[in-house]
Amino acid sequence: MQNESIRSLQEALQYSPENVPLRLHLSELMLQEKMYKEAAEQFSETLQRSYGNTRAQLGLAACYFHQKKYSAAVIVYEQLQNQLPVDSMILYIRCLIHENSLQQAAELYQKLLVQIPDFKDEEIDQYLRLTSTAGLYTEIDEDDEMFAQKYFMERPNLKFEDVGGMKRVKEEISMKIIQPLKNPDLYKAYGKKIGGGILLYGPPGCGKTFIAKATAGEIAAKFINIGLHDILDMWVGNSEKNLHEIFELARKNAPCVLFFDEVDAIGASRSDLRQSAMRHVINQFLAELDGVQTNNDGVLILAATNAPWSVDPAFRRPGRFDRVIFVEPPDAIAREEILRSLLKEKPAEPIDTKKVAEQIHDFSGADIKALIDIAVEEKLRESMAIGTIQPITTKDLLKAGRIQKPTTLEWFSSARNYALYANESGLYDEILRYLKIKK
Amino acid sequence: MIHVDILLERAKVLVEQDRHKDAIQQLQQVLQQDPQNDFALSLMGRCYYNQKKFDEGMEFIKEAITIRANEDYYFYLLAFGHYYKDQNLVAQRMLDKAIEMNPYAADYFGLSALICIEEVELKTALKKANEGLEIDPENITCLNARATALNKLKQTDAAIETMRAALEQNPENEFTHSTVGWNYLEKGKHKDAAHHFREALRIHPNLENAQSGLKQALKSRIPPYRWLLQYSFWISNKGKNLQWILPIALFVLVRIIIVLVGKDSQLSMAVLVVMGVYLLFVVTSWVIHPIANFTLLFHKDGKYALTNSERWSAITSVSALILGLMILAVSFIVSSPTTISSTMLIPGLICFSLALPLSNMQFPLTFKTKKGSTFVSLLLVILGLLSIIMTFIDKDGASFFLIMYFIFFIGYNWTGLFRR
Repeated sequence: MQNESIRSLQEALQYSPENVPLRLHLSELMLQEKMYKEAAEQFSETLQRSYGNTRAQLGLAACYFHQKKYSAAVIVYEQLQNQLPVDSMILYIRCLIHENSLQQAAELYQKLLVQIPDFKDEEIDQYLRLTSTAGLYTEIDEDDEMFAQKYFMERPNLKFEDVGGMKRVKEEISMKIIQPLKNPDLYKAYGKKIGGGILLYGPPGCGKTFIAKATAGEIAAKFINIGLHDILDMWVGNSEKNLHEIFELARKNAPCVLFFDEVDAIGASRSDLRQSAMRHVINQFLAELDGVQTNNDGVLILAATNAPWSVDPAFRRPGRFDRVIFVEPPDAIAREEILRSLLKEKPAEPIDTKKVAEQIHDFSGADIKALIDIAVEEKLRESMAIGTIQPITTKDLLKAGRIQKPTTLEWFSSARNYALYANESGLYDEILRYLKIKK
Repeated sequence: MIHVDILLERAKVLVEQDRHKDAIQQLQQVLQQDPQNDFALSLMGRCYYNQKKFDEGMEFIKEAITIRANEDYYFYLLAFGHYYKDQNLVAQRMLDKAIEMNPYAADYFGLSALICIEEVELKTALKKANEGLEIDPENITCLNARATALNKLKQTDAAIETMRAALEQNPENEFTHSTVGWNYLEKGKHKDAAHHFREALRIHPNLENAQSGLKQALKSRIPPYRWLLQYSFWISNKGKNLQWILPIALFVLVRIIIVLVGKDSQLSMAVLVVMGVYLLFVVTSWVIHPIANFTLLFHKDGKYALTNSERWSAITSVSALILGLMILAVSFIVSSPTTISSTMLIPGLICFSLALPLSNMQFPLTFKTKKGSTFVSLLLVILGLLSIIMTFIDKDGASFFLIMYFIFFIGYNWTGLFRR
């Protein structure tokens, strides 16, 4: 049927080769029939007769795309930049992806999403890493579920009492963000300003994420965890929108704890701090923190870092992360608690946790976990050899404690120098106190 | 699967942020998808460099070069690895290759100049630094190399001018401050040096070059240490071989003077003075390090600048010195003016001399050490202690230990010239 009409159109054109609308019609039919080569010829023919014909140009570019001549297609699309209909835009984006101009593709994709928020395309999404919901803020309501999944939104059951030790940290968090939420009038009466976030820093594996989660649980709020990769991908195109949508998600779900893990990755680059692209993300982040355009009520912002010295100083101004808390390795009592809770469900003799806790000085929570893993592996081997379950003993743990070395020492050897030489504002006094250095 | 470009983009950001372990993870994913990605390999090399794993890093760079042999930057990176491994000749060869491919990168000339400075080819270093500055007058490496070379060539004014230019260029550059610190130290201005080292450490507290510089600057508060430091700067600027030729020459010279003049009783007083000065010089060069470290223990910054090992070797060797001196003093008081009791004299001298091996020892003590010099030091200390004990128990047996200790000590002392 179609072939027939193509043939008759071709005949008709032989009699009136100058009939542009007719030729255009023919070429589009050919395109539909996937006769890309012929269609491309006809489109070019049309363009010769009617220079700058948008429809012909779009058709030609589409032919190029299907013939995998991506760069040729990109050239055509570039000329039409601002007047592309949606389907052409999609083709354009795909061309750019094939040409590896990912950044340009991402920009264009954002424009497209403004027009059609529901748009989904597996191929494009795969490259530009915009999940189906990324894009328009108005969309968040409907697709909350998926969006939340992307950023691991959850409602933790943890409470402060589940966190061993860290008395001081808990107190600070409570005074700074929990009490203001519970007794807003009291704070108002004293004229104490509510708001601002907390920056937790300390050696890795000492429970920064854990306490943040417990904060959310304590006030029965939702918890959004933004990890290193989420932050990194802000650098790779698409930064502002991602950042904004994260904050919007939190605002929509208030009360909500928004937790940025490894926050120093936002903007931290000592060598290239003046690079404009990097400044951009920092500024966007600060604007969201300040809640310039929107209100951050009910959104509690926590951040953690192993490298507080790399965190942009602008983050620490009043109203932003104006409370900086050192999360130190667990003390002896906390270590005992951690040991006990980790051993709770495992076959073990009554353990002299005090003795073990004293031996494993400087161990982080993660180190203690590793220690128990070592002891368990040893016991598994033994149990298999003997044939019955062998309970873990104090001796096993002490032995494992000699194998596992504390990972916090490396962090402290570096942090110590920061505290000694770059502590003008007294920011690292707590490190000095922990290391028992008097300045 | 995440696209290679995105992974590389992430890795680049991570490398810039000094998060090398995280960057390696991303790069491993890139290499799984595309094992021939030379850019990823070169980034991998840089990550390993930054963790001071130069051998592994260089393997990655070499692999990148086999894939893309016409990339000058890879040769520069390779040269960098060799430079840090003190393989200056190979490093220079690699740099020449890089410069041949791309004669417009100032950094290549800068590194080349730094290598020349290490090899004490100061004029060449200056020339290279100037060439680099012709390409980019603001290149920090070249400015630093130029300042150091000028300083060592005693063109002080030009050196200061260059340092000022470098600091104006970027007042927050830790390497510049550190270089300026070393230049001041070489000029003997230890206070200015300390200031710049502190500044460098404020910007980058883990910069080892500045840490050791600050230590030297603080120790230079003691005049003898300052003089000895000047001597060692002077000798190292004269070329590598002089470092062991000069002490031997000095020793031979002193011997000759003694032999020649020894028979002439008129001049014996002069011989004594020469001997005295020479001995003072030798003994000072032995004990000044631990003494200077010991004084740092009472300085508010100094006590944290020392490593644990340095702290313990300072404490032990200074205790040995003091104890030795005390025993000697007692032996002089106890003995009659004409005969000096050897029972006290010998242990005193040994105790005193133990300061030398103690100052070279690694703490905490371990017998499993792989370093030869630490092992020999330990042996010497044990031998010394044994001979002290023996002098009290069995005088005749002690002489064997004493002779052994003496031989070892002399040998240890002379080989020390080559150990450094």
